Amino acid sequence: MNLIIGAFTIGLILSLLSLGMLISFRMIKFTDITVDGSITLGASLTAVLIMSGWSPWLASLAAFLAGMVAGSLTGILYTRFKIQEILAGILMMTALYSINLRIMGRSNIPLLDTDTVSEWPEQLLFNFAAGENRIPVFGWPVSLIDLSVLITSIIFVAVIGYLLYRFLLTHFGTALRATGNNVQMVRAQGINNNKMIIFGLALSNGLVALSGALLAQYQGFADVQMGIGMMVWGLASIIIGEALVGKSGIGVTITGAILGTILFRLLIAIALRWGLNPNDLKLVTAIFVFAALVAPLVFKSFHKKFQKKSNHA
Amino acid sequence: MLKIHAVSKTFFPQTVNEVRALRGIDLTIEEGSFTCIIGTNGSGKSTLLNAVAGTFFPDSGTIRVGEADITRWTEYQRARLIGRVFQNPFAGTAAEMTIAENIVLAMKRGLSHPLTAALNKSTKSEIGDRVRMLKMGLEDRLDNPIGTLSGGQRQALTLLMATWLRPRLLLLDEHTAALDPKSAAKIAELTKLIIHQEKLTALMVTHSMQQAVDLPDRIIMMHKGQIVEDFQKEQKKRVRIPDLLDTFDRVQKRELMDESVAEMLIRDYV
Amino acid sequence: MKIEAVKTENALLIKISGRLDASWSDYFTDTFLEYIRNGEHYLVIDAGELTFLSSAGIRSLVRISKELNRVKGLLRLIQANDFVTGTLRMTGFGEWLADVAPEDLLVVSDDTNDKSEDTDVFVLKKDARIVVEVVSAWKPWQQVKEKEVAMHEFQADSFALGIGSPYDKLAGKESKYGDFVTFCGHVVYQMPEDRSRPDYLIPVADFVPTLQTIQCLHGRGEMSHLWRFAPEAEKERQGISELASRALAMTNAEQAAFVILAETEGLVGAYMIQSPGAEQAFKPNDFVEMRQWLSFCGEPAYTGEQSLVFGIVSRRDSPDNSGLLVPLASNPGLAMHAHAVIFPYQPLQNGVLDLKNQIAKFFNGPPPKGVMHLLDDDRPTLGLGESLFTRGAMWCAPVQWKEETV
Repeated sequence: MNLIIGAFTIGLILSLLSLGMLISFRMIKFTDITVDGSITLGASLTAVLIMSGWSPWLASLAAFLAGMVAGSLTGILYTRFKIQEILAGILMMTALYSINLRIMGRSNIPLLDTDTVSEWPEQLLFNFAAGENRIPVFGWPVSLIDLSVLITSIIFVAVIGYLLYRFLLTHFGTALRATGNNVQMVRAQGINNNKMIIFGLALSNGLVALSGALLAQYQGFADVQMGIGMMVWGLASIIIGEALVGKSGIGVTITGAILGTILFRLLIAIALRWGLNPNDLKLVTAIFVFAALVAPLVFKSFHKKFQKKSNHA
Repeated sequence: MLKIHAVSKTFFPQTVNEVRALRGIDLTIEEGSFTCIIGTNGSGKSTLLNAVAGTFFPDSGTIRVGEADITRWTEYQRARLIGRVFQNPFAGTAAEMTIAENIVLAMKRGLSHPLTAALNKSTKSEIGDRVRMLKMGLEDRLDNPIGTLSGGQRQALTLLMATWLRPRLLLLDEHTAALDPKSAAKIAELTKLIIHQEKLTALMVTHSMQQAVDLPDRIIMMHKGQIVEDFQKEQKKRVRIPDLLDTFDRVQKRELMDESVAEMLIRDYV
Repeated sequence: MKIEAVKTENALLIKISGRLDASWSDYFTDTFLEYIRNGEHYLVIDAGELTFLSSAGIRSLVRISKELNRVKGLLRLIQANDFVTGTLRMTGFGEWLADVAPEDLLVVSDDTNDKSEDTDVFVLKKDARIVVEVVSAWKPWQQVKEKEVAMHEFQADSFALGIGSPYDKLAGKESKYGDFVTFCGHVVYQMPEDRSRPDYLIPVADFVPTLQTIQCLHGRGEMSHLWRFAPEAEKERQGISELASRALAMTNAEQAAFVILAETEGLVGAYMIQSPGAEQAFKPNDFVEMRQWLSFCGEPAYTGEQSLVFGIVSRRDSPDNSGLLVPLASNPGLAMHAHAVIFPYQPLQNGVLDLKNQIAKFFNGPPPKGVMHLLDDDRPTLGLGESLFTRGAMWCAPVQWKEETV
């Protein structure tokens, strides 16, 4: 049960990353590699700020803003200096690596005995459980701390997901989505597509950094390496989400990304439990994403061939 | 209304691929007139339209719409004044978004996009009312992604979107060329209807001689980046397709008159 | 529907099978019009396997028959079944039916070489002459002088070419001098404007076409010889220099006048698009200026149309009284000046053709499409060569220069 709650919690936290990447990869169609750097940025900044006595809430907000800055810098590299999107992301990611080291001053910061954003629900639960350390959930004793983190994450994701949903349905959000769909049309409608890309990347990386901030608080440490491969994980989650619920409508897509991330974390947890070498995890994920990207093409060509054959018959 | 003065544009200057696409174009379009540009491939007709739309900045010359000098305005800044329909029926709409969402963008063409909900009941019914005018049954499919529609339907919607907010100038870039003949005819009909109803100022590039004769009140013929013919008012009324073809022929003939021909003619034409 | 043609001694035997109805009638008509165009004017349809004839089919036959009437040809159906026979009788076209077995129409072998060329040459009037007068001899790129301007009438036996204007005063550009050509008193004139079509003056009743000319070779008289030519081999074409040299050979003269009426493979030439005038002593310096003056065809023009050409040809070594004859690149032994007017295609009757009738027929038919001064474009590699014709007629006569103009 602990395993499942852990996977759930991490899944929820990382679903913010998936939501962020949903904006860059799916809405504005920008292959943004900054993600690997900005999640660490969020984590390291939060860790340092909390260590220096900031409230975890303010620290998370600062992480969000820092992520936005990083994202908009990538956007500016791309729009203003005409650097290819992948390269712009790589430049930003590489720069962030040093920046993150600078922020932390060393390669990792442990967050022991510090407040986190789940402090308040923890108090609430503690009162509710009348001093018990564990309460039963479906007959399983679950640590109060874990439960409170889970509840906090659920609230976080629900609020952010809903805000994102409402935002994407505004005039501005509609314009943002159109930018990834048809640039020519967007410009003809008088929308500054470059601004839209910069804003989209800012929002995206803000969410990613926020995800990093929560992750650091949950794990209890920030590590300069923690971002490696995050982009691929996020992508895998999005793909699973799309397979799960489809992509008809904004609400569905957002829900899909969240569910996809959780499911992905569960799958990983199960795989690790079954004895998958953690070192192979990233390879397996990469193969999975590759398969998910290629499968539609294979299906299509297969379908065509089949159609041809049946036409000839 | 639209004043193009001495506009020139050279692509890839000082390379082997140098193309002098526009060579000092002077053109004034009257308010409320419907002008059609025809010309051979590479004559610069689409380039001229794109110069007005702001896809690129001209090397020299000025472009004014009404009192505003828009020569250095970006494409999206000009969208406030200019509505556009492209040749590619997929270019004017966002495929993955619904009909209603596409139209909502057009309702804010050139305006700011506030953080308020884009679609509500009253907007939707307004959209439905105007889409009904297309007589394509699309009013019942407002929540379908626009990518599920045919090229003709998408082009009709693009036309509707370009004129949703009355543009000072409507630019049509061979907007029926990529459609099947039946859809093309329907879009041409619709174009004429909308332009007349709304009394729009329009500039259209076309390959179709038939359209050039039927639709506009003025025909401009371009060749090698220059305006070579201008049929206006009374003259336009008597223009028929063979006249246009003859004119093309003459222009091209003139082109074939080179140094060697001139030499031969001076010697032999007695 | 299947259509197969076999050439017989004096007709084309065409075997058709299937249904002649609305869906096939256009194809049927086009095929038959092509036969007529190729000079087959006696068409016999073997209708043995024609199963059905609809009203659309009858309309096709009427159209073909009309075309044949214009060239004094004939249409006959043989071996028609009862249904076809009945239909034709009922609609009043019984005269098309004939009772001949196809075997009776002797099938001629493919060997057509025995056909002698000389059978196509006709002597019309042995001692006929064309008396040519140099009315005025302005040359382009010079100032037009008052004495070169002449008002000139064209009579019923006039053939002429040159540059002139139907207006009556010399006033610079406004005088509108342009290329013209005259056949039997019928004048065609190209307004010196890029946009306009040729205008023409026809002698009707007492009206005598009159032009103010600045350059005019005017011949009067009758033609002595007629040559009917047709391609004997596929793709055989007659260049104007060959025709001109043949005119000299037939008339056995040093200088000859000729009129060609022929289906065109392609004309090469130019015409004035700006009128020369008194105040315009102007020689174009480069091709850009040249564009203001002359419209050059650019590629062989008017393919498939009917050209009517008047020209004067001279052996190079005999004296040129006008200074208007230009050496031909395609045949350096000759010098020539020729103008053409182009009419929409109409088939020509086989055999002896009367020039006056043909001129009247064409000038009273659909309007001419253009007037051109023919040129022999001898530019290396780019040159278009000379004007070519596929089939038609050439009338010619020896030229006698009018004394006082010499």
